[in-house]
Amino acid sequence: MDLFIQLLLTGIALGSGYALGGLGFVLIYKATGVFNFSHGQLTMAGAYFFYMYQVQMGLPPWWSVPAAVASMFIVGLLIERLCLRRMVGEPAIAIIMLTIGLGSLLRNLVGLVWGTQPQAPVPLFEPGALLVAGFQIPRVYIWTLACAAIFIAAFVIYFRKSSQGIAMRAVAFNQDHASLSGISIHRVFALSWGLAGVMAAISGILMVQLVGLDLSMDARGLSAFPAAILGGIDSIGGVIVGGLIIGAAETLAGGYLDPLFGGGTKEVVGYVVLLLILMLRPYGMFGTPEIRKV
Amino acid sequence: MFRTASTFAISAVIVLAASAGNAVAQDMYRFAIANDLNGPSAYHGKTYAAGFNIYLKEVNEAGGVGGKKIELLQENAERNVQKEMGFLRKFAQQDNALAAMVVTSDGLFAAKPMADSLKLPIMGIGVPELATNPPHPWLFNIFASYQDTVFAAIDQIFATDKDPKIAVVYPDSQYGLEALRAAETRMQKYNKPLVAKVVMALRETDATTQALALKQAGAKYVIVQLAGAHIAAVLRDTDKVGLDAQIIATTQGMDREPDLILGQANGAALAKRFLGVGPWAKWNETAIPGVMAMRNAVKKYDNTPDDKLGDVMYSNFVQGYVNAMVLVEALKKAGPNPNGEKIRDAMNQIRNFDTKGITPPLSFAADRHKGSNGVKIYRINAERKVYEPIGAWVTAN
Repeated sequence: MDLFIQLLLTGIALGSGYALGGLGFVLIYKATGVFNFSHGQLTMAGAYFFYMYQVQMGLPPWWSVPAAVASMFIVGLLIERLCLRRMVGEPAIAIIMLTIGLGSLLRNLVGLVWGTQPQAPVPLFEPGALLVAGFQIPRVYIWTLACAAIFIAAFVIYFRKSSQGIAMRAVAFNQDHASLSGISIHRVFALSWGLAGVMAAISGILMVQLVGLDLSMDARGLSAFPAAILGGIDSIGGVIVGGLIIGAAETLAGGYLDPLFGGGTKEVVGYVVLLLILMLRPYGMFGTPEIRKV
Repeated sequence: MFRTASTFAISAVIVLAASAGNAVAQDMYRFAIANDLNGPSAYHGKTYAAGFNIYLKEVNEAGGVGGKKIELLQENAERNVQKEMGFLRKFAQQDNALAAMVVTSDGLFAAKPMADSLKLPIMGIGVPELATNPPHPWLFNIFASYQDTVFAAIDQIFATDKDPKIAVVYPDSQYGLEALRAAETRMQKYNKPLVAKVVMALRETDATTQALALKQAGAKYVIVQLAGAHIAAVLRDTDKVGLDAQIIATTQGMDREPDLILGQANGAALAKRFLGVGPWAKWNETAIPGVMAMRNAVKKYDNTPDDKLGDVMYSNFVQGYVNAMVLVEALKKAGPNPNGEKIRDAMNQIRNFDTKGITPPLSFAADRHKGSNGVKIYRINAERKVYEPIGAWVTAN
């Protein structure tokens, strides 16, 4: 039981990072209808920006967070302006291929700029553990969860209450109607990509606190994808639940199945869940079923 | 008419240029490596090649061997065993290489059946015991094997603790399985079982589930057959779950400076739980003449200042440098018109080759294709942020 609780806590902490990453994924899909397969690499780039400001440029650790977030906002804007805007009206497969290519480009750029070695950013949270109800809970988990909860709440409020958030939702609902009501579609698209960059950066920085920083970070970032599909690609609440489930499934598989199968189940379990959900409930747990009359 | 003449002229220029290229290439002796030049672990191969090339620069500046310069040809196999095999064929059949290297242990094993047809001495950045034990005519381990490091680690543990709870963390590959096999073999000598055998994939950077498994098994000593980033992860995550075990890194576990460990919030405390076992000296062991010669070469050819040497010369750099020393020695012994077969025979004649303290003296023979069994035990000096040896070379019998 002790092992189960410890694994579950680890999974929830990791899953909160996936949930944050998944929010960026959902945001892009809701606002622009694009599956962004470069989201894992955006998460990795955000983490490396954090490392750059903190270690290479010597900014105080906590100042490096807004600096990295701002940088990734700009990266998001640039991606939309230079790549995605030219693709408006192109077939979905072309846009998907573009995001895959973009991911490959980002990954190689990160390797080129920061090298292929694992890096060591200064941790943001103090080490040690708290004893709660007889269970040892690492402080880094508590802080990661708290930060993720704050950022998710801020995002949800922004999306529901701010004028830009309402504009995004309007564009997501119907682009033509939104455009006729005076909303700039290009501006909304750009803002969506910028915010996706922000979410990717925060998710990457939190994951660095849990698992360190190297070029395999993009695979972790991509775990947001099964989280988003599981929760429902157009559901903000769903992606949060999906992230937590995927995080927990990964660590539980690592704890119970890896010893039986000789390792490797932790990496694939998220995608097994993805496959199952696509077969059983293609629109996810909380997604909107799309019904077309023929 | 004019178009035909132009086409002919361009073709002729291309053919002549290609021939000229070959002519230039034939004026040089060539070693080759199917390297890994991108991806998360590319620094192993890159630093190895950097060390190899620094030694070649020294030799070439001194006139080369028999008046000919030496070069290291690199191809990017990206740690893919199939690609490594493809490049080995290319090195032998197209590039006229005199010896070849691969990055992965799996690559060494895959090369075994085809080595006879390639007629090329082959060695690896990975040094698994089973590559050369029993001896294979074409495969060489320049250094003590992974098995030697595991044996030495277990002997070191039993020297201070008669009833230790030892566990192994390893990836599910030839590289990892070598450590598991070695640990099980060595534990038989002491009539004790391993308390846990835990798999951790090379691409994993989170060791929480492994740490929990080790805690459940009550491990007090954990031998980790993985790279430096994994060692840092195991130290971090064992600390996170409250497991106060000694973590023992093998050869590639010190593949970079201990900054990943010391950079963590309680890095100094984590460093106290670290021990490393390695088959070659570290760049900071300045009392060793060979290390000083190597440092001077880096300063001379790369213009690297003293305080930045650690950024260039970490672990696999030293390995590459010594590997080049051995191959150049074999080239000198091989006589005129060397080829793979002559280099192999020359290597078999190397006895007590002096690396000026970077390794124990290296000896090879037709029935012994491993240069040494000697390893050193290291700890982390948190103040200087380097690995420092505890004592001299030890040999596990």
